Amino acid sequence: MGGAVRSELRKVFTTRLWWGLLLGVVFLDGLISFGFSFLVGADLGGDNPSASPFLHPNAGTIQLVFSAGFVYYLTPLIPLTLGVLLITSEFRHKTISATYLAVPVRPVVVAAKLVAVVVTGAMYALVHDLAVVAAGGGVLTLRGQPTFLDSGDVWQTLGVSLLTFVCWALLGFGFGMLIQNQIAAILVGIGVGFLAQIILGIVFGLLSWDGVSRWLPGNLSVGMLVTQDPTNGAQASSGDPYFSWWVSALLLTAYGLALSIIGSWIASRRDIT
Amino acid sequence: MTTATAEGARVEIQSLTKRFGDFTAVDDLTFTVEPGRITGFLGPNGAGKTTTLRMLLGLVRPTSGTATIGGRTYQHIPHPITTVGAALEATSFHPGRSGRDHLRVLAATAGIPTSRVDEMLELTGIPAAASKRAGGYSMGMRQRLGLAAALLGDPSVLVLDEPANGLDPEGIRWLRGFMRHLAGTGKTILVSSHMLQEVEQTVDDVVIITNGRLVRAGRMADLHGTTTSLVRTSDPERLAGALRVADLTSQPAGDGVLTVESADLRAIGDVALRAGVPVWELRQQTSDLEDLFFALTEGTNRNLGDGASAPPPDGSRTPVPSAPVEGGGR
Repeated sequence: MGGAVRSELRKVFTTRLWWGLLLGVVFLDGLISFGFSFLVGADLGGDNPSASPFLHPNAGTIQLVFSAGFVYYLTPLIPLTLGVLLITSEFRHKTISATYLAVPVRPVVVAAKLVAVVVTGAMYALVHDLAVVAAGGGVLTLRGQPTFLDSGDVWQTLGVSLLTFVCWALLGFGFGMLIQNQIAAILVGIGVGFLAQIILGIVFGLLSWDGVSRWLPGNLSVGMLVTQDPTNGAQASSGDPYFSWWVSALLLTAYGLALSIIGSWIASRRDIT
Repeated sequence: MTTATAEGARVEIQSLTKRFGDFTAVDDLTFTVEPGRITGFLGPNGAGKTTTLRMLLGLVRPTSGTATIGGRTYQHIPHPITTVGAALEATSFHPGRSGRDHLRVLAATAGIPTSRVDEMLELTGIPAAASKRAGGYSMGMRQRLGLAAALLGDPSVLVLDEPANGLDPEGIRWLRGFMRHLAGTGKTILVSSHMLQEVEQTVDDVVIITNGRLVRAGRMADLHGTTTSLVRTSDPERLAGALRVADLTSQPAGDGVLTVESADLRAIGDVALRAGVPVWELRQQTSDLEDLFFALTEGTNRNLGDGASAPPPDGSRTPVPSAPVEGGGR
């Protein structure tokens, strides 16, 4: 098992994929955090200025700035893509034969790959944390706004982001195992992870099915990361759109593991011809 | 990395069958690969060779039957690459990963050190090129890298699927010498090919299949059959009688020709002299391997449609040649 895990980790770090996507994390998440940090303390107008998450910044506001990429369903696409590519490249380039020849007990291969996905996902999360704190925190400091970096809630967000990244990478891994065709898996993954989130969110809103959209994976990750209400209670009157952070975390972890395990189980029964 | 199983393991294929839907790719196949010998696994394209090898290696699940190496199925061999080295299609590399890293990935599974990776790259003659990304490799490079991967764990059994595919004549020469070298180290080698002459000079034993069924298994030397002699004379009946007296069996082959089951031209000539019949032609004849292979496998190729699977109209080419081979039989 140890050898299989080392093999899978070597696999991740011997192509350009890992640092290519990691650059994406740095630029995308850094840029989003950078942009949002300019909104902190600003009066954006609107009907009800007191409901603005930015006007009177609290720890929730900073959580929002550091997780804004998740709120807009963009950041999860990177670990999702990572998970999809790590497994589908084996099928696309037929290296899965060599993998199974070296480790013929397929559940061991799956377990080793899961470990590699978890490790890589967590590493991405650390880089994400550094990027958002450097970009967002830097701007806040320069603008003389509070960074709340002494707040346990903000640190909780930075810590929980590890689990969030890992879960999205697992979701991608499960999609990849199920679909195997690389292009199709990426399209379906992004379709479900990005477009379906937005469309279903709108549909549920129109049907006033409050509470249903809380189950969407994108909203689960927001629920995990933005634990304090940045609107100082103004939003609470309309019902909390998210589960508590640990329920969200449990659900998203369950999604990721379930998809990975179902995908792996189906894939492990297939002939490699 | 010296393995406890260095004494070659026997590969046993027992009633192996694989059906993909209605299509029977491998049909009740049974044969054995003896330790320390090179066995050629032959058959036309689509005969079921690759499917058989993939079942042996645990990549394809047999519909029924078993395939074992040293008495164990592939899944039950711990760190299998240290017992069995396999080189399947030559194209299976991630184009963005260097050949050396490809080997390092495999080496990690069995705790094989990177120094061994570099040794194998030296052995197969690609140490410099292997540090480049595999996407740009030539066919010859891929085959050599595949061999290096197979040898990584110093296995006692090698399974090579069409290793000569895409190699230029120089590469094929190198491969022959390389396999001879490996066999000299006592390894059991099972090498598949769709061309008999490709492996003719290399293999000790042959297993020939067509349409997923065994048509011949045995020693390469026996495949040639016994050498017979052709003698042409004016009175074949009289000569046949004289040969019978001299303990030589012969069959009339028409047009004054006898086929004598002996390679001793001198004895036949002496008999003819004593019998007083003229000898117009006298020579040894061996069955041509390429013809034999073709006769064994032709006319039945399921991949060419109905036209090819119909028996030849004159019916004269269908029977399998007479040369008896041990362990053979349909």
